[in-house]
Amino acid sequence: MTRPRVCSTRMSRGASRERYGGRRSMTAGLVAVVAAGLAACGAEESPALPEATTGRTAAPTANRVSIEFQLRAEPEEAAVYEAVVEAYEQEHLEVDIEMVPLSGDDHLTRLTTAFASGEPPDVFLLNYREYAPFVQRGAIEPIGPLLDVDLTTYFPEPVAAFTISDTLQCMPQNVSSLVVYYNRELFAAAGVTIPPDSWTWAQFADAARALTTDDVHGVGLDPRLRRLAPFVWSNGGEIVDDTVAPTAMTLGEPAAREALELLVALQAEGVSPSGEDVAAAGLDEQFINGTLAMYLSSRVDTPQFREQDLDFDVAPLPVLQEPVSVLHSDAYCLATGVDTADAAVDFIRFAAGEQGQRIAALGGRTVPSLISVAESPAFLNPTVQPASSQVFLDAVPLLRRTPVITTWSEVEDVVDGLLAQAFYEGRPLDEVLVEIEQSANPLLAAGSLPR
Amino acid sequence: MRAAATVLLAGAFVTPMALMVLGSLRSPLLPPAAGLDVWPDDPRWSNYDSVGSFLDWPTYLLNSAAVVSVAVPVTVLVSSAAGFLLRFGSTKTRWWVGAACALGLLVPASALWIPRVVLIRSIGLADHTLSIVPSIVAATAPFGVLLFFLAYARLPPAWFDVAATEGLSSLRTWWRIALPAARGASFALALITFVYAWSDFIDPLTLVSSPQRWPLALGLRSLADSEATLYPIYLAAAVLATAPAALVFLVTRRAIFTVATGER
Repeated sequence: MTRPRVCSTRMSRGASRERYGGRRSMTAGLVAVVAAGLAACGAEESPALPEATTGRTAAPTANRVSIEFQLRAEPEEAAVYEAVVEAYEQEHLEVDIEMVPLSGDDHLTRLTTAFASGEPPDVFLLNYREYAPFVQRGAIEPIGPLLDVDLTTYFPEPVAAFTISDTLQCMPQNVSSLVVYYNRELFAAAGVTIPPDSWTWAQFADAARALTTDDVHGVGLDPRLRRLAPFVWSNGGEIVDDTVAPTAMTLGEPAAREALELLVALQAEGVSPSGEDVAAAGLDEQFINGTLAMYLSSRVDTPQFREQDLDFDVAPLPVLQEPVSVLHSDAYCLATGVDTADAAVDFIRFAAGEQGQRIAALGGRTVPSLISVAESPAFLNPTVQPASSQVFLDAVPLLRRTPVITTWSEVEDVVDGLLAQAFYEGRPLDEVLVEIEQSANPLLAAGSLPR
Repeated sequence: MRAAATVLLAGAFVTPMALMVLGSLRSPLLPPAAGLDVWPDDPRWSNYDSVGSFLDWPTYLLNSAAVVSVAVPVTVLVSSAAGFLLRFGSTKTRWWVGAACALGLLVPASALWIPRVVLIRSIGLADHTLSIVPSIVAATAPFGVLLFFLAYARLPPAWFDVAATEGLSSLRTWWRIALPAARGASFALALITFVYAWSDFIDPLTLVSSPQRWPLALGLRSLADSEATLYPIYLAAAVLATAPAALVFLVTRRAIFTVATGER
């Protein structure tokens, strides 16, 4: 049996140290490390990254095409996408891609104003929870008919999330899910083990209790709807009455309420950081500091954990009644009516294709939506943490998604604020659930399904 | 008692800045401090060198300097002239200027984001470093007009009677008599506009597409979501962004108080 070759590059850590230690540009450092990673993967595993990364050697002046690519990304993440952009530009000397990385809500603020003024970016990344309003207003050119790709080579879950009326609207580039990051040292010190395949809620809660000491919290519970929804689903409940065309929140129904009650009770036991603790240091910071044993998050946090001397791995979410997780997926979207549509589509094809996804996967932050890359050493490299990256892939068939309607972001904002009151301020859960229905149902009614 | 109050008040402003500087000296890529880490064990001044690897801050700094060097004098001049009209103009002129100021002050800024973007883009002024100057002037001038109106109202009316007798035009009267006599208002508005323009990131976010034309505030904002272990770099960038504004205050401090109090 031939052992698969492994990529040995710890990209994010290397990239950070390159940048921290020297004065090289962010892109140059990142791209060099990505190139090294690809080289380590072997030519048969990845198309050769063109001369890399050392600079473009020709500068054709005629028929140059400029593409503006906007995304939400913090600096490390932006560097990964910049590596993708540079790899594309090396193969397409006639194309200049101007990347506009923005933080947090700035991404949506700028997109909204840019569309309103009629000068949107040509290509932009959006989460499936956010793209409905843009489809509704006709701002997104459906990418499906323009891309000549075999969608069966991609995981069906993110493709379905970005499909409306049987037409693929944006091209998904990742398919992450909620998993349990755990500190192996703290587990060993407490004598706690995680069952190999799956674990029940009771085992999870017992582990959290056993891991909790004066200095360590057993688990960090994030009281946001998209973090709690998998527990509701796992218990047989629903967060809304109809995922496709929701009209009412159903967190107060018995199965959903029971799941939330379990979580709130665990929080009340003191095994999870309080609101004051979280205000002082985020859950990810506490996990890095070794004061949090288990942290529930998606693949996005992997690079920053790799940069530390943390001994960590990932495990699936605990099961209440049935195994389930929640989809996290972003996609490349094409703005309607852009002059450079052909070049923009070609860039999207590249970025969401084999080479683009392999570069992004080496960054450690994404679970590739392209099955061949997801199952390759670029993602499943067992020599870098987390050793059990397969957990992310095992969760894919279990993924469920939140509704895709125009007002869903507002619904989440309202529900998140109220759930925080139950978790952090001790407000009675039933009172919170009533207010959630009163506040969120009108938003659901005001929302519409993009056509 | 008074000294203690002064120290407390100063501490409220200085402490966050001191923590920002101290935080910028922590070693990056290490776990964040658990609790308040007042003085890092191994102060890393090299973090300031590293900022350039994450942020093209010299370019952003120049862009910010260009913005304030245009926005501040334009705001002061426009506000001063409008304030003069509000004080000495005809009834109709005063009504229009007053209404424009009230509108500018009462309408929430966020309500004007999209109309402003549409307007400025439609006249071809978007995506330049100075694209945000009209927005800055529009945001700060209404207050400035009222400030100058009050300053002019305190000037002796006889000055302007003499100017009229001597045959000075309104423009010359404003330029030669009113504006120099309202130096305190000019300094105050210049400072307010400088601070606003220096820290404004919403206008460039919506009006300036190309990152190489961004001002420092927006460039710094792009680091705001950095991983926790890179906060020292983010804080070092924040210090670099704050330093010019603090320097301007320190340099002009004496002049501001001298002019404001009328002391020599």
